[in-house]
Amino acid sequence: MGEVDKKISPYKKGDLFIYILTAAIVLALFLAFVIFPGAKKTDGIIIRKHGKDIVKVLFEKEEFSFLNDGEKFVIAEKSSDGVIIFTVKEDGSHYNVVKVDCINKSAKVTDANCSTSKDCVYSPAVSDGKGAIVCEPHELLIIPITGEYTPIVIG
Amino acid sequence: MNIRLKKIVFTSILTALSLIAFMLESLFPPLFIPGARMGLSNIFILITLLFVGRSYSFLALTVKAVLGSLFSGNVSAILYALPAGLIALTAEVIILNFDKRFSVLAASVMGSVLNMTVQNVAFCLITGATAYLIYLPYLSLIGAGAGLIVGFAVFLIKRYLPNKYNLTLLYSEEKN
Repeated sequence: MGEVDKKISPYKKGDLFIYILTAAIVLALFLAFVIFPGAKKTDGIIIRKHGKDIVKVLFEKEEFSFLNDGEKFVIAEKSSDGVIIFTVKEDGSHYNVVKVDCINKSAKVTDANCSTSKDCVYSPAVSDGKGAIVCEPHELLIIPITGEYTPIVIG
Repeated sequence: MNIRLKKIVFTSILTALSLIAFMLESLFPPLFIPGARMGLSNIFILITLLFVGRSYSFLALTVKAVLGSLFSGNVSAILYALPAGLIALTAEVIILNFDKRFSVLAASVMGSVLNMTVQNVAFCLITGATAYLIYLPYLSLIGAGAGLIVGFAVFLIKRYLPNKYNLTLLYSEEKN
């Protein structure tokens, strides 16, 4: 029982089938979600907290508005270069800092104190009407506005 | 020490190692895309599957997913990490059932791709952020690469670890 099994191989005949199947799955997903949809016209972004839209930003006008008592959670700082910094705070300690660039039509989370991995901070920016940023521990969602905007109000 | 007790001890050690790997990995930024990880903790889950047994590997995975989510401060991750992990492990069990045809590398690649895909879809459904599906192809691609690395690590362990630690072998010999 003390011996090792040096005969085993890292490759077996059936593996090719698994690798082809995997490649087909990946290719199909790229076609469905990246290549065919293309870029969309983005009018702005929505910041959603606990399922309620709390901030709406329109890129063209470089303006924002609070929704559903959003001003209770959010501190906004607007600069002259089309950048708006939103600090979304809750319970005095939980926070996310969202940087919205109206000229480049993008939004990104630049700082947060959520989980150890801080996935929201490392998420790519929301731009070209694609993607979303989710901070699950703080129930924060940043999504692009593409087409007509329908506000979500829960409760 | 009887075989059942030995299996429980081995499973506990491997689950603890898996949890440590998970926690260490969560301290580093994700790989290019949010939620993308190497999944090094799966090395120990696969070792549990190969060296201890199927039911023990499912137990190890469940404990790792629950405690890992709690310790990393993202409790709701249980809702999508656990089902994704269970589906991926089931696929690996099915593939390794035909171990004369398929290697552990292939099983790991398929498991990892499924894990990433199911996790992303479940996450989108739970949070309502369907725009997040844009990352699905990238996650599955990263999953394939991560699965190869994890599978190769498990292959090396299986090759160089003496058979006396393989409790599935020991158990079948005792039965005979």
